[in-house]
Amino acid sequence: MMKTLQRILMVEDEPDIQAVARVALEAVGGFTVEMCSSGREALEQVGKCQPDLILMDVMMPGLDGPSTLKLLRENPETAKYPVIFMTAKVQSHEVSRYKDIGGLGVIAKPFDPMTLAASVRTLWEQNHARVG
Amino acid sequence: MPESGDRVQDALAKLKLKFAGDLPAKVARVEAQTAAFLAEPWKEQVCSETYRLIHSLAGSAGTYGHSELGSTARVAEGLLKGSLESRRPLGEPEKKELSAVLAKMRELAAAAAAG
Repeated sequence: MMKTLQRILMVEDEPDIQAVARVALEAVGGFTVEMCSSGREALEQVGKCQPDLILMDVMMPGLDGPSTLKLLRENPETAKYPVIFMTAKVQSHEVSRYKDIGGLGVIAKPFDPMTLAASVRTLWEQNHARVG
Repeated sequence: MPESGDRVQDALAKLKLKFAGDLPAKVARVEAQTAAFLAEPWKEQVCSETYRLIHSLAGSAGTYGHSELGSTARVAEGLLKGSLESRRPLGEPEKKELSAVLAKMRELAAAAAAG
């Protein structure tokens, strides 16, 4: 039976994107969302938050998304958390790159607030269907 | 639990209204940061900060429905990205292009704020 996606940790430094994504994920998607403003904050909060999924911006000051994922994977306690990246850069070779480093997939920016939750759910279900 | 469609639309409408009202200030911040970048000898950190600021505005403008402002900002982003990757200051033609792009962004932001 597929694990249900309920709790998302979103890592995004831009407050305007945080605000609209929260509406998109909570009000439209029905998810519970915890928000972090940086990769460093995500590393500190993830153990407390215990999300089903991390939705991570790629370009952030300090630790960017891929660097944050690398650190998550290096720690046995945080390696388990699946990550979906969000970025404006979505050419196919870039999507492959983000998957090669361990992401489930990529959601393009700008995103439609009314369909973001569905896009997240689709990537989640595709990955869990593969894992079986 | 998802909320009703009306409540979602209300919430999004409020966010969009605030964002549009804030746009002139956001573009002004981009212009000030870009002026500071261009005024001094090339520095990677300043170039990177300018690039990221423009990148953020391009992304958020698109997400909030200001697609022309978003795509215009992407042009500015491309110019800064070129400077960052080449580790070289912008040439005069690029500075002229950037100035024109920022002026267009200012105009679009003002129009968005005016509703």
